[in-house]
This record gives sequence, structure tokens and C-alpha cells, in this order.
Amino acid sequence: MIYFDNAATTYPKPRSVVNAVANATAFSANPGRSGYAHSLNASRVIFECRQKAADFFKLKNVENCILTPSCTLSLNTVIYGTLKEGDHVVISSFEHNSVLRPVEKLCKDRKITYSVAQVNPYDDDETIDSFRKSINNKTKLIVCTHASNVFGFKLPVKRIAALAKYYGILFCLDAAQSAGSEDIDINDIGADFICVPGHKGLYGPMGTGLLLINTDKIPESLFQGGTGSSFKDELGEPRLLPDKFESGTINYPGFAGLLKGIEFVNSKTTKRIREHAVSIMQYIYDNLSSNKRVELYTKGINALRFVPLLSFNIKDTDPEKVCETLDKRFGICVRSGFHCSPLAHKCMQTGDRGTVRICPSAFSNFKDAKALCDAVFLISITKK
Amino acid sequence: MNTRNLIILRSVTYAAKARNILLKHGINSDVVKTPRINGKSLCGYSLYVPNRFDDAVSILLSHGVQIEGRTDSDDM
Repeated sequence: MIYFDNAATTYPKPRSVVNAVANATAFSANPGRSGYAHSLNASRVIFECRQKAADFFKLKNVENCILTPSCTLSLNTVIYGTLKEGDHVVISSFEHNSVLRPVEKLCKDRKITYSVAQVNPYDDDETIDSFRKSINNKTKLIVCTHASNVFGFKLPVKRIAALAKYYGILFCLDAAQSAGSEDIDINDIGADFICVPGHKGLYGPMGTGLLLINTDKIPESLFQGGTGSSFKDELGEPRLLPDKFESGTINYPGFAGLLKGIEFVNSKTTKRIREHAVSIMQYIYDNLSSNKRVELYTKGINALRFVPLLSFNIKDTDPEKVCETLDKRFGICVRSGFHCSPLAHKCMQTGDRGTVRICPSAFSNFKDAKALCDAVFLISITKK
Repeated sequence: MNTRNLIILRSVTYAAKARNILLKHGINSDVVKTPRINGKSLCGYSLYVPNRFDDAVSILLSHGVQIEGRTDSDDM
């Protein structure tokens, strides 16, 4: 199997991650509930993961690193927990459904309003101007992706964060496609919240995510329950972090694995992971761009403007068919369709058919990249 | 059950954070489940600090760690 669907989830996972998940499952106990050795050990592992994640993103207070089941839940927590009736939120034209759908639902249910700032992938000034024009006196939150999960474009997030701060607006960064391959310092970016999946660029298992909080404007929690923490006379949810957002049993095997995933990324460094992925992507881009029957949507591979991720189509060919043929005939795993980002397709005018998406990882190699390019060539010349 | 030399914290996260802070200052401690004290049960976790107990409390307070209580003698 040749795997280029790392934007969906990274594969393979490092052996250390697999082992950690297996061990935590085999010797499991509920962390943060009891005092016997297994439980205390599980608590220690969870804390280590939390501390390692906080350090990775330069978050000062470890308790502000919330462990969640997914980046989607992290985003929903910020969006639902921050916005009240009458509030306004700004999102970008490349947002994933994990941002668009909760915002759209809140628009219907709680009577908030939202604006979509148009992103020009090649002109940051125009993008910032669009964000500025989208802000009004009721804007409470700006949520935007660090990089498009369909086309790989990076947004000028530091400038967007600065804009938000200037107007006293909270800024939430969706780092789903950038965490692990981009250097992300929450203070340097100026984000109030960063939402991260554990299972993509951090090479952890599915079922893990992070919500990093760098503001004293703490959102409301989405759900409440047992936390294992001490509340003498209070019946309601805890106010302290991270307990406020971690009701219920935590995914101990998952975060045991994520701890090892972050250690893996640290051992390689984000710089080397990015350089490797960019070089693979450059090879693929150069090959595909020389094929007249292949449609590409980006002007080259530029690590300053893109994360290593690429969408393409073959002329007069349904991307679902391309994806199926790559899988069944060549054993190559990619994703086709709309990638849960209708806004991005609207922006790039691929909304009628979607695209085929390729994304390498630290484990991708040039042999596999060549196999992919050769397969795309053969499909492109095959008579329909 | 030992209830001496316990620094009582609200959650296991704070207990682990406190343990790390103390370790950096050369003070060893163990995270334990907060026992029943003075006939009262509390959820949460404590740090058992066998030595330099007062130093440990000062250090944690100076680092902004919220301490729920302390036991300097056997309160069982």
C-alpha cells in the first residue's frame, strides 16, 4: 500500500505510538480517579502528554492545555462556548466544516451572525483587508484555519491575530493541517485559542485533540460530568482548568500514544519533517505539472505560502474515479471529493466536482511519489 | 493511612504540576489520593512531602499553585 492521505490522518504511526497505545490498553486504569499504582501511573502519563504538548506550542501554563477527543470538538468548544445571541464571528473562505457547520448552526439557533473573509492565497494584504472589512462592532471572535486542508494555502495568521487584538476580538486558530510541520508558538502568533488534532501532524492516534487556551476569557464548557477533582461545596462544573473541559473518562491509551507522537516529532524536528514533505511534494508537483491532462490549483510549491498538500484533477475525469482507480489498480491511498470544505471549493471554483488530494508525511518516500505520478499518468492517458 | 505532610490540591493535574515544581527545587514528593481527613472525604489529590514541608508550601505558593490545605500532623 502506498499512502498519501496524511491530511486525513497520518499513516503509519511511529512504532513507539503503537506500543504506547497497546500498553496503555493492556495495563489500563482510569487516570485522575484513584490512588493505586496503575491509576497514578496513568495520571502521570496523561500529565506528561499535557506538559509535552504545552511545551511544543510554547503554552506557559500546563493546565491551559486541554485534552479533547478531536480538533473538531476543540473548535466546537471555542465557538459554542464563546458566542452568545447577537454576537458576530468572522471566518475565512477556506474553513473546514468543523468551523463552518457550528457557526452556521449557531446562526440559526442562537441568532448570531457571521461573515466570510475572502482569502487571496497570493496576496496577504488583500486577505487582511477582507478580514478587516468583515469585522463589525458586534464581532466577538475570529476563527480561521492556519492552512487549507484542500489546497494547502497558508493564511497570514499572525497578521490576522494582530488585527483581532487591535479590535479587542478573540482569535482562534485551527491548526489541523499545520501542527507538527509548522513551528507554532501560541504567543508569537498571538492566538487566544489553538485547536489541534492529535492524529495528523503529531502522529498520535485518532480520538485525540488539543485545545490550547491563552486568554483569561475562558469559554463555557459543552458538557459536564465527573472530573475526579475536589469541590467541597460546589455542585456545578469546576471552574479550574483543565477539569472544566475534561469531564468523563479521558482517552488514556490515546494520549499515551499522543505523548509518543509528540516525542517523535520533536526527535525529527518540525523543520526536517517539513523539508522532507516539501521535497516530496515538489517532486510530485513538477511531475504532474508537466502533464497537460492534469489540472493543478496552485502556482508551484512554496513552503512560505503552503503546507505540503496538493489537490489536482485529471481533465474530463471524475475525481472519485481517479481515486478508485489509484486504489484498486495501483494500491495508492488518496482522498477525493470535497474534503469537508465547501467554502474552499467555492473559492477555487472546484465546487462542481471536487478534487483529488495528496499529502505526504515524514514516512513518505520518493519511490512512492514516483509510483503515484506514474499511476496518475497512466490514468490520464487511458481512454474512457 | 498517612495523613501527615500532605499538601492538598484540587486535582491530579495540579498535584503533578506541583510535584514537578518541587523537583526543580530539589524537593522530592509523591502524588497520592487525598485521604479522609478529620472525618471528611475529599476528591482530588495531594502531594506527600516527607522533607522540607514548609519550604515546599512556600515554593508552590510563590509559583501560583492553589493549595486547598495542608496537614502538618496526623489528623486521622
